[in-house]
Amino acid sequence: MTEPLIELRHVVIGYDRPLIKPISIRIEKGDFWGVVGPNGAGKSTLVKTLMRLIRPLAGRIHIPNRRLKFGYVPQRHALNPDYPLSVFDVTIMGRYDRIALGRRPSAKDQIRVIEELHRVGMSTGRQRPFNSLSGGEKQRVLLARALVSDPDVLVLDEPTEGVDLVGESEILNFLSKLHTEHKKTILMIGHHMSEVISIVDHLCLINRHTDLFETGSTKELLDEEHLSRVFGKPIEIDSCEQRSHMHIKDLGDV
Amino acid sequence: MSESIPFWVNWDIWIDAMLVAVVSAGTLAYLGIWVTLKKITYVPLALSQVAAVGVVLAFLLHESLLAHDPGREGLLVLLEPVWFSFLLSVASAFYFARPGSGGDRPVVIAYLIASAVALVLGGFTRQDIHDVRSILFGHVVLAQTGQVVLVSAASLVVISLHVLFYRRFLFGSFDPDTAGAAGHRVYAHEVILYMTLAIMLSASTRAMGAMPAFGLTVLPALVGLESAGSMRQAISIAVGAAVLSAFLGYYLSFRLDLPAGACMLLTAAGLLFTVWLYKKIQR
Repeated sequence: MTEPLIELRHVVIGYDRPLIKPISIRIEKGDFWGVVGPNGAGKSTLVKTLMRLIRPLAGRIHIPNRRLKFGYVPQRHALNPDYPLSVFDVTIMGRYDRIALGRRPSAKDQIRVIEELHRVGMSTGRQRPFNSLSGGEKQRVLLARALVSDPDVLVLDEPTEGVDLVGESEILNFLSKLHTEHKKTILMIGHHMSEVISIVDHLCLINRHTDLFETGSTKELLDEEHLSRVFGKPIEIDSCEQRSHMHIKDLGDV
Repeated sequence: MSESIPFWVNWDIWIDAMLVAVVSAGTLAYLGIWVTLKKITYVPLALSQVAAVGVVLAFLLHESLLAHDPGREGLLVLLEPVWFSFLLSVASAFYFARPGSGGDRPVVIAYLIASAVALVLGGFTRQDIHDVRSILFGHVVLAQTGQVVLVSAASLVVISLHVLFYRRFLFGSFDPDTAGAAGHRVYAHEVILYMTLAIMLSASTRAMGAMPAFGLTVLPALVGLESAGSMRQAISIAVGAAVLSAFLGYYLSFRLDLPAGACMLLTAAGLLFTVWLYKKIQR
């Protein structure tokens, strides 16, 4: 068995009190994980614990490589809109850990920013105010910021939330390509279940309301019984041309 | 000061006060950019009150030590009020910078308790309560060369730390989770940022008074943020507006025989309303 990038062993997550039963998860290099569950299920708390932003209440987080770098793409509405920052200003933050105290970004840093903005389709308008961008554009800039840091693990918190259908499809295709062509390890909190399960290879199902936590390959967990337990509602899965489509009985798409 | 005294010819009368006002205003306006963006407006208020408690404590210790052993006056240099106010406000900065400490609540509670403690302890000093308040909150026209040195030294420390940590402060303030995930020590940087605020506010409050110090932290920063498209522009405009408010406010108070701190604040408020009006017309 290869050494994992990150391993949680019987970890209790939560801020002051346990959110859910002790959990264990093992993430290996090149994995593409989807973290799925209803609103308020504990998805963000889990991911923040994995990145060591929140201390676990109990258990052990094992990260063999002490220098493991996370590239985080937060939910864009978590950012303060009052900061007068340009697209370039926001993206270059991803290089700040390489810039010594009191020093300016080097030409190499600036070139990396331009490259990544180009890669996510934001090559024009680098000086545009970040807050004037559409939801999809902001998400792409935040993705570029995560990528300029050359992370070992890319972590995305609902990257397609509030993004139109075309933008959503572009972001998911980009992530899929990043995983298949560059073998990037990705952890994504899903918003649209149907889209998440079509690109990830591992699923982490979580729902603190029903004390449910299950991990496994998408094939193992992608059945109506598991998903119905996660969402607490009867769910049907239709498969068509190797793509799965889910909907809650009588309610519509999930 | 009356209108009959020429302003420029008598520069030696006002130069210390003007230097204290201009250096304090410029540095506080820069810090005000962070205060405004981070939505921590209560923090400067609470820090200046905590600094006041330090001053009163120093007075009490002075008095009790002198009462028991009047011959030890030489050692009392260590009990200078300024060190006490620095110490207490910097210690509070550690607490205020804590993540998830309940929003504004602990800061507001600290402000209220510190205000009450300063007044209660002030009653135990031999100084008249009016004297204590004037020592606590200073008066810019009475500023002396020692205060120019103190405020300039505080400003130099603050500016040096911000030159070093500017990018860390920016990332940690704008997006603390991502900065933390990238390995930045967000809490440590927050503490340094709050400490610089504590240092500058305690020096400025003692030199020019609580109201002008707080007002010049907030109003010029708003002028900068309302009229700028980038951080650099916002900082330049805020510092420019603060220096202009301090200078013009002091000049008007000298010529019209009005309170200096209030004139500076009203000048800064005038600049802010001009910017708001201009933006409204532009729309």
